[in-house]
Amino acid sequence: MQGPFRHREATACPDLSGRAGDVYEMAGASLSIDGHTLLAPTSLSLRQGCVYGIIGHNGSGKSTLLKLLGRQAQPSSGTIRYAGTPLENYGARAFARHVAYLPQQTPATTGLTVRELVRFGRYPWHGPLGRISSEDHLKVVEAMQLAQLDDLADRLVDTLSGGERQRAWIAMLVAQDSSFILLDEPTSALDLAHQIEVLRLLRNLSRSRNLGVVAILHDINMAARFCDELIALQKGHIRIQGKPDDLMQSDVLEMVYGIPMEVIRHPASDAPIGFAR
Amino acid sequence: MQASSSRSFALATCLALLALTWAALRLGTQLPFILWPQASLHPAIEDVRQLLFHYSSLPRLITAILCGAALGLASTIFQHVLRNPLASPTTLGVEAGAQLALVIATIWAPFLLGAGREFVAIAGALAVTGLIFAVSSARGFSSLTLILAGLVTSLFCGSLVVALKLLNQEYISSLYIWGAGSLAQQDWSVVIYLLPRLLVCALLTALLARPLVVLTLSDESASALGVSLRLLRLAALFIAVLLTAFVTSSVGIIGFIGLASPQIARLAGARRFQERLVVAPLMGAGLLLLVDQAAQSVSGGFSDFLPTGAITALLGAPLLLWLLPQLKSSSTDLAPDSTTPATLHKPAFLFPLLVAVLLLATIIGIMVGRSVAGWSIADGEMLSALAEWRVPRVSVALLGGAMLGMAGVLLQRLTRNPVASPEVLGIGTGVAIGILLSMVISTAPSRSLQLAMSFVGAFAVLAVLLWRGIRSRSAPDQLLLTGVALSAFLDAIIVSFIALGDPRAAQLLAWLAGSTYRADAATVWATLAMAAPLLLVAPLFSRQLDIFPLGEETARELGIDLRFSRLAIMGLTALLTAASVLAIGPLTFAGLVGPHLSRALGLRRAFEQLIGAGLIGAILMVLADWLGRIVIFPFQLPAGLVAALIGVPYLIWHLTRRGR
Repeated sequence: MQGPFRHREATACPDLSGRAGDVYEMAGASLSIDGHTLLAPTSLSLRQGCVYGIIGHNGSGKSTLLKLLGRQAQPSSGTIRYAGTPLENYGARAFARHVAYLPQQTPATTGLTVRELVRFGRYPWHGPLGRISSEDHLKVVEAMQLAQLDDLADRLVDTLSGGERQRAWIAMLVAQDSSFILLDEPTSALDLAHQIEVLRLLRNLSRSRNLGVVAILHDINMAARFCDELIALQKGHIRIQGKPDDLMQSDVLEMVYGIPMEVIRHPASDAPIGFAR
Repeated sequence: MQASSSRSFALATCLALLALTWAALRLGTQLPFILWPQASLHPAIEDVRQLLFHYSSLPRLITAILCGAALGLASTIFQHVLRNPLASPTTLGVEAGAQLALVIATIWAPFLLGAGREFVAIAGALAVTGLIFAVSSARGFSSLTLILAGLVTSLFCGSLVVALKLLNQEYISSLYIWGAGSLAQQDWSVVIYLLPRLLVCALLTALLARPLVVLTLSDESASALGVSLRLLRLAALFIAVLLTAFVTSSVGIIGFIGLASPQIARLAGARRFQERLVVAPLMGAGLLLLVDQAAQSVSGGFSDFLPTGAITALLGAPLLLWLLPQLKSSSTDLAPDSTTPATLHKPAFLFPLLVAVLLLATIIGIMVGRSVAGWSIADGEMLSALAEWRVPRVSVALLGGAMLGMAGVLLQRLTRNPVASPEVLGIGTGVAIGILLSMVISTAPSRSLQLAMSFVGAFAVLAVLLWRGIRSRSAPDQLLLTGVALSAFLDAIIVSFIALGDPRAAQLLAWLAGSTYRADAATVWATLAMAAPLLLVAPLFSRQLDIFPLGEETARELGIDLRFSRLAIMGLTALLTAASVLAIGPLTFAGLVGPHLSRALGLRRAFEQLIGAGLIGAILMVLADWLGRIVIFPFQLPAGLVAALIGVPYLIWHLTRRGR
């Protein structure tokens, strides 16, 4: 189904027009540490079922934005609401049932098998002492199938290749059965083939499970190809937010990346391709 | 930069001058200034004051200066070469290693001391340095692991020294005063011994100074500059070890001066390594002289007996507490035990096996003994007679070991650090202080008073740990660091007490070695009452403990309430340790060994590892108790000590081997 010249992996995300209420809402949320502003007051709304790409160069506040959304850091000002409720009102496990988060560097997983890692994704549901239900088992199996990990289930995570390991972690997030998945540079350590593999997986999950995906991506062309909407950050501010086609303009990219950029059209697919001049 | 370097130098000089002035004023009350030249060169034999000045005060002063400078220099080198702001002869266990070697030689091979004390001390110091080096190089020289490995080794050597002293009571007092770092002198021999050796070391350091600067860079860039790093590092470490060994062999352990002086030098603005090489020894000399003067003023007539080293340790603990947060955990620190078991055993086979071994050990512990006639297996009437004595101690050992094993798993998984052990929490030392207090309160403390005070000691330490835990928002590293500083502090109090030569010290010493002798039925029931709920509660945290090693972000992402879970697990660990310390004494190495062995057997998941470590800890302690009873029959070795003797060498082997 994926021809070599397809530039969009699927049709537009279901309700980008905003008929349904926004699920994730940032209202003037900012983060500064020791007087140093990492993220200026930012307002943003994100919906389920869409793939969002966060772009910008190093130090532009991408990770900070994601950490605030994932409640890994507390905002210095402003509020973040999920489904209308401020994040701080959620219990730890209750929040984890709604939002999953993958850090930039996945930690070492000494002596863990893939299956064991994916099972951790069910912790928000069964908790420290709760019974592990058949539904928990089902979700784990399903997540591993989706990430095509069946053959690797009993391998130690540490022995996998980079792409396989990333898939294992994503499977853990999938087993978590949340409505949103936040990923900090999920493709940074992967080669081209694996990058596409991981992004395609996220894209398909978003479509099939009405999942909101928010990912920090470095490669602008990859982001344009797989995301429904791009959010460009610069020096802690959101500079522009819109559909990939709107952002793929040489002047816009120039502003985001701070170097002269140019956009041409792919000779066969007519997809916009950005590159440094 | 020029300004800052001269400022730090001026500051160090001021400190040294201040100390010298104080010393001079104190000496002036002993002997009028006019007589000084005569007393220092040709003391009049009929004048006791001049003799004292010549043979005691003056050499003591110079010894303090030399030792302080040597330790300052050694630490500067250690800190630079190991790239660790907390490295020092004390924190790396190098002093303790030298001391252990000297004590062993004193007891078994005194002729070696005649041939040259320094060689014995150097051998001990080198052995420890090599060991620490091996353990930490397997883990990329990560700062926290290096210091923890050093402190554990230090504790281990310390407990061995206690054991040896226990078995050789006749040496106790003098060995202890020396061990605690007494600067008291009777003649010039120490000065004559130290001076040339230190000068040679200083000269060698000066020659190495320039190439060593390159070590400030990362290894890759340093080798790119054409310096043979391995050789350079080894040479520099060797000099530092020599300096430490010389000092330790002549005056014993003087803790923390070494740690403090480069730190103060750095704070005073000595930013470059070469500056610190000059400023830190000066600081060290000034500091030690100052502390020594303080020790002499405070203790008055007892000055010969209150060892200066004990006081530096007292001052050092707050310093350590203040410095420790500087240690940034690196990613290598946080790797859980970075060993993957070769085989993935099924616990289904292992648990019955471990239970069987435990049963066997228990039966042997109760039935088999030695008598004058040789081995004896008790049965029938004899068994029932002996059971009254043996059952309590075996049960106490079993429960204590199980609790320690579990506490170790909790701590290692919580802190994500494979060298974390209940030992470093300082609870053992807290209980020792409690027992000490009971001796101070009453001349012949009753068993119940002792127990009550032990509780007070344990829970006071516990309270401090938890308070720091809450304040640092349950950061696990802080738990370890607070424990380390607390034990150093409390240890200094105990060492001073023992060194004062109180006859009750022997009693305290026996307890410090971790004995099960005094266990009776009441102890067993009390221990069981504490152990049972704790042992049952610990496995309830298995799922969190499984996730903790994956790091804070993942744990939070999966919906673990970090503050609550960590605090609960910290509290549980501390309670388990306290209960076991009350039962079997402060040597808790079973808590370090149990988790590792359990993991090496292939028990990877938290629940399995907990149960396995509990069983292994119990087996270890029961066997240790039995061995302690029979190896040197008719005498006994304390169980905690035997466990340490078996466990720690194994662990070191395990840690160095698996790292490769």
